[in-house]
Amino acid sequence: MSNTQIAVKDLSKIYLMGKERVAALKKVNLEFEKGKVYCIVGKSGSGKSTLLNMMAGLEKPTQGEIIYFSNNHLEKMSEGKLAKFRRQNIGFVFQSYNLMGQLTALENVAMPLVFKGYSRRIRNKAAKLMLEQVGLGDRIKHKPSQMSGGQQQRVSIARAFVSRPGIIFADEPTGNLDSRTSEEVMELITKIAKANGQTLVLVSHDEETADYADTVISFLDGRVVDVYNK
Amino acid sequence: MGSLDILAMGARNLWRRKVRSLLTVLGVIIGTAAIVVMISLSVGIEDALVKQFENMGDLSIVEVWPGFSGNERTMIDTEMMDKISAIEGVEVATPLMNSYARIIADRYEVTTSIMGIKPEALPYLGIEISEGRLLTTEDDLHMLFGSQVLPRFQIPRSTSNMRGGYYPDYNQSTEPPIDVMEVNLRLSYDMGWGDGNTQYELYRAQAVGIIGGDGYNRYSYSVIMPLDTVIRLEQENNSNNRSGGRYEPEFNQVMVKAATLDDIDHITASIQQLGLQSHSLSEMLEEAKRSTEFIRLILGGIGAISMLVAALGITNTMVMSIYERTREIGVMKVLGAKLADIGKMFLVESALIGFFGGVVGLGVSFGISYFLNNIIAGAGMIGIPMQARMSIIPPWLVILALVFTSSVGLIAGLYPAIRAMRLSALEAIRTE
Ligand SMILES: Nc1ncnc2c1ncn2[C@@H]1O[C@H](COP(=O)(O)OP(=O)(O)OP(=O)(O)O)[C@@H](O)[C@H]1O
Ligand SMILES: [Mg+2]
Repeated sequence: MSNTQIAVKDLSKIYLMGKERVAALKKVNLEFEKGKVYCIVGKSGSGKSTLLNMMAGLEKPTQGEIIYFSNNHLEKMSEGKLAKFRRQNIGFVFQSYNLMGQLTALENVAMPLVFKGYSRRIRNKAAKLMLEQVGLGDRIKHKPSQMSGGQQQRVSIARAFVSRPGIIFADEPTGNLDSRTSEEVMELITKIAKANGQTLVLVSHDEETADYADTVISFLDGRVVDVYNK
Repeated sequence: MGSLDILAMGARNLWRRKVRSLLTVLGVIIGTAAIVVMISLSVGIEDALVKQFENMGDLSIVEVWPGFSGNERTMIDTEMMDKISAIEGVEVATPLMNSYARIIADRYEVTTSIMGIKPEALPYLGIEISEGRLLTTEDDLHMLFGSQVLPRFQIPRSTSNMRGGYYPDYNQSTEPPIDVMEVNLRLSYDMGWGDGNTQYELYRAQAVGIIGGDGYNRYSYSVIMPLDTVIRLEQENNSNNRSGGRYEPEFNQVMVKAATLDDIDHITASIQQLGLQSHSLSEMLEEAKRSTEFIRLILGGIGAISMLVAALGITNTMVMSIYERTREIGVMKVLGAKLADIGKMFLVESALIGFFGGVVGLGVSFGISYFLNNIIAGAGMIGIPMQARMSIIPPWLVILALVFTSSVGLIAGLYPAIRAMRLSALEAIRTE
C-alpha cells in the first residue's frame, strides 16, 4: 500500500444528455504505483478517456474519490488548485498532438515551463535537452506543420516530460500513427518514464501497446473487468 | 508566468492576425483622433475666450461697490476697507476715492476730478505712463495727470465770477497749452461758487507723470493723487468737517488685486459676505466658459461615439480570436496555465490594441491640429484672428488620451478574457 501513488475509489461519472443519463464510469476502484507503466484497454465507449480525464483533473467526478500521494483529493480541488496541481505533477499526451501551430518545436516544448514562470534561458535549455532526448535535436526551429505525425507526437511527448512531472497521462498516443512509428513512440515514452521513475498511464486499443505496460487494465461498459500484472 | 512573457505572447498573437489587428487598431486610431481633435477645438475656443478677456483687462482684479439689499445699504468706510484688505489672497486693495479740485498752473487753470488711490496699488491697475512715473508711497501733494485733463487747462475768462475751465470749451485745441511736468502747480478746493467768506487754502503741488496709452480709460479724465493725501484734503476743505464734525471718508468703488487667479473665487465670496457688490473679469470669463462647456460636451460626445464603435471593434476581434483559439486555450489549461494568466493574455492583447491605437491616433490628431491651425485658419478660411489657434492639444489631453484608449482596450477585452478563463479545457480540446 505504501507504494500507492494514485488511488481511485468508487469513481462514477454520469453524463446528462438532455433527459438521458449516460453512465460512463460505474464505481471504479484502482490503485497506481509510482514508476510503473499502466495500459487501459477496452472497447470504444467503455469509459477509458473519461477515467483518464478525471485522473488528470480535467473533469469532475459525479461520485467517488481520486487521491494523490494519499492525501490530495482531486475531486475537492477548485479550478485554480487543479491548474496548479497539473502544472506541478502531471504531463499529458494527446492523440492528436495538440501542438501550437504558430510556435516552433522548441517553443512548444518550453510552454509548460513558461506557465511555471521559468526564465527564457532556463526553459530553452531544458526544452532543447528534452527534444534531443526524443531524437529531434535538429528540428528545434521547425513548426508543427513542417513535421511528420510521428515527429509531432515526439514533440508533444517532450512537452509532457519537460517539467519532470511525477505522472504522465497519454490518451491513445499512437492512435494516429502507423504501426512502425507507433512502436518507436511507445519505446520512447516508456523508456523516458522508466529512466526517471515516472508513472505512465496509457489508453490504447491496440494489443501491441499493452506489451509495453507493467499492468493492463481492461474496461467494459464503464467497469473494470480485469487487472493483469505482467 | 512572467509579465514579459504575457506581453510577448499578446504581441505575437496580434501579429499572427496582422490584417485584423490592424483594422481594429485603425478603428481605435479614428476614435482617438475624433475625441482628441474635437476636444482640442473646444480647448481652442476657450483659449481664444481667455485671450479676449485678457485684452480687456487684468483678470486678477475684482471691483467692489457698496451693497444694496432692500432698504439696507452697506457702505465702504475705512473699517470696511480694512476688512477687505484682510481677506485671504488679497494682495492689495485700494478705493478709487473721488474728489474735485481746481489746479492752477501759471496763468492756466483746470477744475477736474481728483482720484485718490493707494500708490502701492497703482502698478496693478493697468495704468500706462507716457511721461514721468507712477506715484510712490513717499509722494504727498503729487499728481498723475490723465491725458484728457491737460487740454482743458485754460486762462480763466474772468477773475471774479466765472473761474472758467469747468465747462468744456469744444473749440479749444487738443494740444495742452502748458507742460505740467515743468511748471509749479497749485491746488485749491475753492471752485468759486462758495459764499466768498470761506477761506480755502492754496496748496503747492507737483506733477510726477502723465497717463498715456491708447484711447481713453477710466483714469483719462482724472488726476490721480495718493489716497491719504486726498482724504486729508477732504478733511481740511469740506465745509461740514470744518464746522467741527468728524470726517469719515466713504468710498464708492474699491479695486482689489488678488495674489493669484485661484484666489478670485474665495475673494468674491468673502466680499459678498461682507454685504458688498463685486464684479470681475474672471467671473465673467467663468460664465463665458460655462457656456462653452456645452460646445465641449457636444464635440466630445461626437468623439466618444467613434471611440465606442472602436471599443466594440476590439471586443468583436477578441471574441473572434477566442473562437479561433478555443483549442489552444484548452491545451494551455491542460498544461497547467493559471486561469489569471490566460485572462491576462487576452487583456494584454486588447490593451495593446487600445494603446497602439491611442499612440498613432494622437500622432494623427497632432497632424490634423497642425492642418487646422496652419492651413485652414492660416489661409483665413474661417474668421479666426491669427494669434488664436483653432485647435490646441494640451499635455493633459495627450496623457488623458493614452490612459483612456488603454482603459477602453482593457474594458473591451474584459468580457472576452472572462470567457477565455471560463472555457472548459476538455470541451476546448474536443472541438475539432
Ligand atoms: N461530454 C460527454 N457528454 C455525454 N456523454 C459523454 C461525454 N463524454 C463521454 N460520454 C459518453 O461516456 C461514455 C464513455 O466515453 P469515453 O470517451 O470515456 O470512451 P472511450 O473508452 O475513451 O472510447 P474511445 O475508445 O472511443 O475513445 C461514452 O458512452 C460516451 O458517449
Ligand atoms: Mg477515448
